[in-house]
Amino acid sequence: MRKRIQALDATNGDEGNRGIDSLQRGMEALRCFQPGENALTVAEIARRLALPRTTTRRLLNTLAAHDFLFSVPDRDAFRLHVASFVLGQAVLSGSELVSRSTPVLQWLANRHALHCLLCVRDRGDMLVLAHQAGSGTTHCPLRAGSRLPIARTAPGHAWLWTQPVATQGEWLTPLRASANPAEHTHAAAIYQAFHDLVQGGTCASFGEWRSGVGFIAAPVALAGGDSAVIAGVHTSTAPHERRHIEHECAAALLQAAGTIRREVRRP
Amino acid sequence: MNDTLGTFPRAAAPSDEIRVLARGLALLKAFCPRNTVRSNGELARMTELPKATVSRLTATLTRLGYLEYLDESASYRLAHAAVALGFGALSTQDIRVRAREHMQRFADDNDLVVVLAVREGNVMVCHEVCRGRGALTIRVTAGSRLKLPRSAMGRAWMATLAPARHAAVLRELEQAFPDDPLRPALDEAAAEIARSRFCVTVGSLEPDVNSVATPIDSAQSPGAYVLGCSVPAFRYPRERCVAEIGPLLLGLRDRIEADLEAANGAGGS
Repeated sequence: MRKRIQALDATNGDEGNRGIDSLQRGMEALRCFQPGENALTVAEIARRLALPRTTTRRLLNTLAAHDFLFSVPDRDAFRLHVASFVLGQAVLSGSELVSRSTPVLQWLANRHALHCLLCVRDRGDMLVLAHQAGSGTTHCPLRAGSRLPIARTAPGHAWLWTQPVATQGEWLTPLRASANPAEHTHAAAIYQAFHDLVQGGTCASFGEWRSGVGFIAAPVALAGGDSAVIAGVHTSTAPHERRHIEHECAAALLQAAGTIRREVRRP
Repeated sequence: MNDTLGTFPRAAAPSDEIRVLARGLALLKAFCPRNTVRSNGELARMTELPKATVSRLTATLTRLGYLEYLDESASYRLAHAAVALGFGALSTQDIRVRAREHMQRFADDNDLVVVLAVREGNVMVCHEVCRGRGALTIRVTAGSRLKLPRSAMGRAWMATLAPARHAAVLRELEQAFPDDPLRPALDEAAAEIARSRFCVTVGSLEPDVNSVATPIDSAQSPGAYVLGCSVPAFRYPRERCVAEIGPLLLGLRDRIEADLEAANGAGGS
């Protein structure tokens, strides 16, 4: 986390000052909360932000005064509160990308009894903007606001494939140079995904992000050179079932990606 | 409808408030509830901040990825990255998620609008809104803000407050709504809540709409959430609201509270 804050601080450049740092750190405090975490103690948030506890407490008190956080009674802890929800809801309800993609995702989800996602890039993750569940599907922990690591999931691989070679290199070079063998595996999976995307327009991953969870993904080219990704999520562990799902879904996923691309470019 | 939405009033700032962060948050809120496109000038008017300050803040928030600049209108809107500011973590365990299924079934079964709301300053913010197929009453959506003293949910929330806090909030409301006779309506709602655990308002938000509300008792957010429903006044005059809708709403509340309790018992931290 310290690395991330330092990296962000560097983006302030000449305009950087303590005030702007405080705004940035306040935003980072909100990003500390992960799905499944209810309340976080001041000490834990301070640790994640790599900030002194007194500084952190001032940030948290300010966020609480504006209803982004809620101070947990009788505990030196905070949890997310209404303004965080309202802000996210405002983005999603005002997004043409989300509104025009949602019916297409629902069609895809129902057709293949999958959970379907619309994702955009957010720093080192793919941020889920929309989630539709097919009828009869089991619970899926992913929903709008969830984040998936770019290096370890097919949605991330599909986004990376749409990027210039230099950007791809920024991701792949550290993975290849890492002393950690797992990072080499991730790099190999990304190259395989690029190959599959060239061959058939989709790519798949299984178990690299979370055991038993697989993705099949396709990029959606947006206006202005930006890209989103749509993905199907499944929990089929048997290899032959996975291959069957990936094979069966690929054509529909590409069709859905094409429909969304046309829909979002429609005036 | 805009008349009922109000603005985000400023709560009393903590003594150690970080001003630039507070201003940035106020700016982000100015785009809610529908991510309306805003120029620096509009933002300055809405937040009562100097335009130069707003320009610096919007530039910073744009660089951080939370705002998007629109060339054609020289204005801003929230960018997708703002969803990462807690929404995902919140939505996985929030009371909304637990309540939604119960609320939608209730709305379908009774053909009405049911809302889960939280107090924010002088307004009640709608967190979740479920509507029956033919429900044509009040046009609220998730994120809509209802003036606290005019909504049944706001009055029900006030009824949960300890006397000292009730008096403090009432003073704030009297300043914000100087033309509204607040105390009689709030006292009546408090008496109703004490008597039957729900309160009824008649045409307080819109003339042809009656509303019923009850606070939710949640261990995670004690006293924070209120459940309310709106019905057409011609079909449900006050007497029918008291005799029929109120008890139904209490049943919904009980189901949601039981679900929350079970979730907490199952290990929700």
